[in-house]
Amino acid sequence: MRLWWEVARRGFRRYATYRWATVAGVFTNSVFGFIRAYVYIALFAGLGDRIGAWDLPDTLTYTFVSQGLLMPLYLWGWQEIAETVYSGQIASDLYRPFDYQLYWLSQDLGRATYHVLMRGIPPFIVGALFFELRVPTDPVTWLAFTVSFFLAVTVSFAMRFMVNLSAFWIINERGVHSIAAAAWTLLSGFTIPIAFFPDTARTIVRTLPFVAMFELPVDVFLEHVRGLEVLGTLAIQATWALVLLGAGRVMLGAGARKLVVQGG
Amino acid sequence: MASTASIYTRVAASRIRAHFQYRLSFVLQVIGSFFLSFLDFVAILVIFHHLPHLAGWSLGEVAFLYGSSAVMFKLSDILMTNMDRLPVFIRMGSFDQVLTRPLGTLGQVMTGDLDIRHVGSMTQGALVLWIGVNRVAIDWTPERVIVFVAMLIGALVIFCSLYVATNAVAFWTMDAREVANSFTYGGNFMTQFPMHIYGAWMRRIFAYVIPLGFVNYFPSLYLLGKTDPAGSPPILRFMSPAVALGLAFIAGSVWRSAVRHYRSTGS
Repeated sequence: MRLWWEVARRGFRRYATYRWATVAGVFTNSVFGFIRAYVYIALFAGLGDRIGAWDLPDTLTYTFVSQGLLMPLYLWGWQEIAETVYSGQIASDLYRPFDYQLYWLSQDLGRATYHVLMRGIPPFIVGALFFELRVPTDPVTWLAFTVSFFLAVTVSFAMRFMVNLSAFWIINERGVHSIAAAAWTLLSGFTIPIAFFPDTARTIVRTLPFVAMFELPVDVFLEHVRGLEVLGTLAIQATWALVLLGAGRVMLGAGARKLVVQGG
Repeated sequence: MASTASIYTRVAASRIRAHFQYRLSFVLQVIGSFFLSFLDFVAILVIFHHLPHLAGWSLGEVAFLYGSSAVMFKLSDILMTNMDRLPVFIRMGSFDQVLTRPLGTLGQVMTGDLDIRHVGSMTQGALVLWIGVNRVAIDWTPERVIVFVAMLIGALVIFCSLYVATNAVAFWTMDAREVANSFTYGGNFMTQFPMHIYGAWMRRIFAYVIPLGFVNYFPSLYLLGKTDPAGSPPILRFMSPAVALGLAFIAGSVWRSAVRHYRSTGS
């Protein structure tokens, strides 16, 4: 346990070195937040009604929460493990006396903690200065959202882990990555809330694991789920996290058996 | 002059050929980028699932905006592929090589790589534009054809200028590069929707100062016979070429002063 804590701390510190990149990233996340916010304002002005449980302040809050979660969830461009597969470095990494998947998960949770503090909260504050956002007042909601957030990161990590491991079988992991990234950007509810989808599409998408990354944490934040439903939501996220981590372990085992080291 | 142009053409052609070397992989990626860029359009379809007009604009009209912006933005993305690697050139000192050759620095950086795989998403933009044009029933008088063509060329020049001006920041600081994305990718995103949906201060900055309004919104008001609820002067509808030229001039000056600022790594 102590090992994983240390790995997570290193993951946190590793990303804390690029200060100007953080400022630039917050600026960019905020600009996109503003564009999206005005599109939703136009949508609700024309509609004059809510969509399901969502009214305009809910949707604006969702916009800046999702802009803030973008970096912590790291949907785009993480290819560190794939690179070690191509370089052969993974062979010696697998020899190390600790669990390979848990090692990367710990470092990713450390990274996500840094990113939620430095890249997640600032765009939300910027958004709150210009728009009417909902901030939960119930401490239980904050506690549930914190748990939901780390489960979302775990689900996201488990998916990225598998996409990276596809490098064992496919020469062009980048192609797999770009297809996966496009699919989970839309199906997680990042592009537009899943609640806004037509009925059939919404029902189908909500049974997929992707909603565990954006839609479900945002439901908790907006208090669209209450009481026992919150536990149900967290249970769904935890189930997906375990299933996907398990699938990743199976994939790792299969890949490692296939691994041939051309010694030199 | 003619020979300089032919050198650039030959260099560019060789970069494009390089992407054809793994033919199957190339074809798959072009097809992939074509389909993936539709996921981006899904958000607009979902919005119009709830209402027939967004701020007074129909789905066909918004598709016209989306398509005209997307097709030219993706083309600028191909032309500016190598800008992504600029910070690496500067950090490694390999920008020195660019300076020693008897050709323009910007032309060399641009022809250093052309990621032709983006023709997939560019085709998607063209298709959405075509659908938009067919749904809005424009009366194609010669004046409208000229304004339409000038709008597309202007959009390309504006996007390329924004790429050059914002990426030149890499000569001063490496880390702040992501700001460039706000103006390039953000500019593409913003011009998918009619400008008047944005708040007054934001519209002033992004429509006039950055001048994204001239990418497609102002000329589209004329082409589609719309009025701007924010009451912009009608003359702006015909200003895209002039604004694009002005911005290109500014971007060129920013680039030149950035290059003068370059000090090699000296190893």
